[in-house]
Amino acid sequence: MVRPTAIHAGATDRVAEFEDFVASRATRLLTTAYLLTHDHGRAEDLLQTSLAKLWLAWSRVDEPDAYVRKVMVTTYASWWRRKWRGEKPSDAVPETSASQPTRDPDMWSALARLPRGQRAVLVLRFYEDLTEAETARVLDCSVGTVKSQSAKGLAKLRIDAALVDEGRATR
Amino acid sequence: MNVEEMLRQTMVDRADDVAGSPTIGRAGRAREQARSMRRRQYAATAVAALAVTAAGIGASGLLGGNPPPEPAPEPTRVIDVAPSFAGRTLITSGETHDGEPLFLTVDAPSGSEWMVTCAGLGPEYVVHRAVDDQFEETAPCGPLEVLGESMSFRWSSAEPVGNDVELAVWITLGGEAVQPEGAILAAAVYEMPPAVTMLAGTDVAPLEVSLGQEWAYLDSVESEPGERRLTVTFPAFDEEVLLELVTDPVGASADVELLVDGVATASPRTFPLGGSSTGDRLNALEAHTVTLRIVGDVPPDARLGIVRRRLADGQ
Repeated sequence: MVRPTAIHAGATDRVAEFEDFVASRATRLLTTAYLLTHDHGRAEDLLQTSLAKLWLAWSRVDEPDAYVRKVMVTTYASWWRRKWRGEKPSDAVPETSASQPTRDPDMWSALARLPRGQRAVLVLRFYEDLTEAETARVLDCSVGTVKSQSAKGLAKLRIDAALVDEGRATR
Repeated sequence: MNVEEMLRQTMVDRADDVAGSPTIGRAGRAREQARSMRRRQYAATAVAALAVTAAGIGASGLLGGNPPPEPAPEPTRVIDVAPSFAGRTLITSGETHDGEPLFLTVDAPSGSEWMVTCAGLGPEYVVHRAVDDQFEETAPCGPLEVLGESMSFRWSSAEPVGNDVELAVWITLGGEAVQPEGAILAAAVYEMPPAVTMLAGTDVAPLEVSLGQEWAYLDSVESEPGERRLTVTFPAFDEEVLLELVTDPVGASADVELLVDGVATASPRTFPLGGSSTGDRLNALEAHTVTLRIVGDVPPDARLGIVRRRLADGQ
């Protein structure tokens, strides 16, 4: 009966490791999801789906942080592509105006207007503080693509009417 | 402050919006969701395997009669295709593996829904869809997909029946057609139930699915042609309401944005004019002002529609 016990112990360890990972990383990952989606409920759903996919691959993943980021960005991209009949996988109700943050709404809305690929690059580079090479690995693209997407995204922010009108984006 | 600094500061500030979200139980819920995903995959695989086994038994003569010719073995299907849902009935479906282009020839009835998925690949791969070599549309592929997530479209009841319509689906990487190992292409065509009404050029179905629940038509409102915005104040309703947004015309280079009580809440924030979106909800027992507006140039024939839905009986 040693073998079943050993298997059970291994499974328990994996569960514990996963629980620890989620406990330590969930808040940060939820923030990343929120910066991508701009919607709390949708961010919760994106994180939950990404963690589920991570758990499915848990036993073979060496770098769970990188893996779950990759899943999150890819899943987010798959939501975006539903141009027709796009069912929103979030059960969140709209926030009221009273609960809407008022901090720098222009940059926030300008960020929302970026194409998703550019927004993902900017979130990974400027919030997650990933290097260009790390960002490229997450997005499964070349460093050159990261550079160009980042440059295009920043350029769009600089010329976004909401920021230009206020004369705030200086370069 | 330069734009990079503003961006960093905004992201840091916005992190506070979700800072207090509870983490307790999150890992358990993720594992439960993972089990559901796995069960769904296994169920689809098992059903397909059963069908192949049954064909094999028939071929072996165990069920009596002369043994028929040996059928060609069918690959096990991975993508789950429901025989019916929300009043739709499956007409046909197909699936290919390892990136083999998928072709479906269908007598397309007026009022049908066509769903396409490309699974098992990263978003650098692009799935293409064409109908009779026209109306090509593309979308990135994804790792784990359900039918229709990549793209879906409808053959509306206003369009003529199309005989022998060929749906073609294929994959490219860097603009070149490829057949990558592990890729799965799937497509299905469903016959829609009769529409409740037509709004902004779109058939409004009696039932739509959101988060696994069926939502029944409640009422709807439509803008005048060429209007930039449609604003409606809905009185308080005793149940939660699901919004279905429909817009016209297809192919215009403008986007549509949803505002609820003056706040842009939809995510994605905008979707292309000509498309539709289902999923935004209104709280029960509260009046809400809903605005659908066009961002960009307004075509003279632009129309916007808002459908309200309530949970269907038995949900």
